[in-house]
Amino acid sequence: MNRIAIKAIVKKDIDAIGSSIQMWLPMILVPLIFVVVYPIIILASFQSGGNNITGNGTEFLLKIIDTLPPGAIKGEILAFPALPQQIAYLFVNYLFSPLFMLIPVMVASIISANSFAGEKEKKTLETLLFSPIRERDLLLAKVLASFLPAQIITIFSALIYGAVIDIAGYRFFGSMIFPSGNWILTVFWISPAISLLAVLINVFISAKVKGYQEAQQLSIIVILPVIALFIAQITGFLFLGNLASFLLGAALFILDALCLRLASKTFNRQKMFLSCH
Amino acid sequence: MENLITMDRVSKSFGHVRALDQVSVSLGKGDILGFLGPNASGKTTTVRLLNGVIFPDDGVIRVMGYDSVKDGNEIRRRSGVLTETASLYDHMTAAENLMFFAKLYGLADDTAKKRSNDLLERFHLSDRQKQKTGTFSTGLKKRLGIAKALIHNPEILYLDEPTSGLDPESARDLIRYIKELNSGRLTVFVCTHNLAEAEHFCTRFVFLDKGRVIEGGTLTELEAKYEGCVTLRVDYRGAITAALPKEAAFKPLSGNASYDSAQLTVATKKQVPAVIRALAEKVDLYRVEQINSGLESLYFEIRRQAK
Ligand SMILES: Nc1ncnc2c1ncn2[C@@H]1O[C@H](COP(=O)(O)OP(=O)(O)OP(=O)(O)O)[C@@H](O)[C@H]1O
Ligand SMILES: [Mg+2]
Repeated sequence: MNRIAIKAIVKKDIDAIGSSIQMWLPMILVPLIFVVVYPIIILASFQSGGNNITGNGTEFLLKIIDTLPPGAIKGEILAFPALPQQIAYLFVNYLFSPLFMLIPVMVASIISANSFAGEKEKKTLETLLFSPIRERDLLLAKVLASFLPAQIITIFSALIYGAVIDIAGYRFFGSMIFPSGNWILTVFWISPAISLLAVLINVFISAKVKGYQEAQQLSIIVILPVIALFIAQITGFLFLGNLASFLLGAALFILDALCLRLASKTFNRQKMFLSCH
Repeated sequence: MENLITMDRVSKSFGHVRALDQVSVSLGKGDILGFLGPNASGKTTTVRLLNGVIFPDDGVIRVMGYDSVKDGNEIRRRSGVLTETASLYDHMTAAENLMFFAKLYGLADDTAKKRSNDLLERFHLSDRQKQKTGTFSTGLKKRLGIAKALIHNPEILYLDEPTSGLDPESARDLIRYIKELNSGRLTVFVCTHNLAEAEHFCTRFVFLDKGRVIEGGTLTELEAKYEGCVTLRVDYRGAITAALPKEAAFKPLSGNASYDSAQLTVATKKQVPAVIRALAEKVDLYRVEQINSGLESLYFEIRRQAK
């Protein structure tokens, strides 16, 4: 493994993101909207509603809480004396986490689509292939160059989200509810697994497409499972407790490992070269 | 002489396109090989094969003793390449680009800095080293591309169309510099369409056509083999037709107020001195010039005979 070369490529790719406002602006703005606007709307609507909330939505949510398996999550929720807090807690702590997962997926997809297909589009990949870098190192560098920024943005997003909830919701909940075990798993276990998967899927997509735009469009595929997860969770079909989250992350990491293996087997130098011509 | 590059009956296809067909080429240390051939004849493909970026379907490639498929990185570590489109990173400055590639080639930081500064200076890019290469003109990019190819002091330098896009001054400067490096035993592999330039620059030539080597050798060797007709352009005043020996074919060209011009063709080079002598006796000669000279006429002659 040639660390210096890998570091140089990672740095180059990250600098490239920094130098293009079309690249980094959406990657900062979209997460910010997620982690600031969402909790404020939730908190504001429940805080203003007082203690007696009604309506179809509420009944639906109550049913979710009701159908939860007895245990940690249900206990946490029911520990709040009043209904608004219970439902708000459900929203900000559990229902949001699959939505939050869109952040690493989105960031990883944007960056990796650009990192591979962009290099193809600008014909710079050929120059890289003429250098004495090993195929595996190149692949690793490219994966890291997308994975690291995605993970960093995810962590910052979580911190901002937590700060917003703890500050804006302190009086409402009567305590600082962030971070909970559930969030630590989301940020440090499932998010890296899923952003890695997004990157690797993009490696394969980029090998098949001509340019960055096309890669970008196809990489939306990765978002679909996350949305499915969200729908599953909100309909109470699948409620990810800590153990389930842990297992989901583990399964994703195994999938990552398989993809990485497949990628390093598939992409010899000639394959990489031909994919850009 | 020890061979630095050996290609032995190498073939390469892309789908149905046979880009190279049984190509054998060898190159000794210190050679400057001119790799000549029309568009799509397989020149760039050869450079890629020699650097192990793509793999041959058939045949063996050895460079500096290494197999191009198995030990590609060993070869690439000691080879520098200017690709057809000098692809650099637009978002980085000239100096950053050089430093980046220096790292890929495993140069230590201080060596890389020194080398990068030297090359920027050598290619007259010092005052632009902090400029993003995305804003460079074609020629500036090419110059930086060559600096990049040389950053790690390679033993073999591949130049794919090195002077296309360069102004005459830069082109001449580049050739002078490469010659200079060559006298320090750098081996050079040049793909080019600029025959006039190649004639003086290269020590040996290989002619490629539709993926096949149709001829190869030094200029002297090739001239001896293809000693064909010689066409002269003559500027003169006087009654030239009377003075003309019968072996020279005459064709008038448009002259100007001060003299007439004509094109004379003789069958072999050997006849040229006699023709000039005969003419000089009877008419005033202002200029005699071989217009189908050297490599260019060889190029066409070789291609004509290969058909
Ligand atoms: N990646 C590729 N996929 C398909 N065909 C290719 C590929 N690379 C080269 N070819 C084909 O191989 C042949 C040789 O191409 P090559 O680029 O080596 O020509 P060249 O001699 O460098 O031409 P030029 O003088 O135009 O640069 C051409 O017919 C070209 O279309
Ligand atoms: Mg070419």
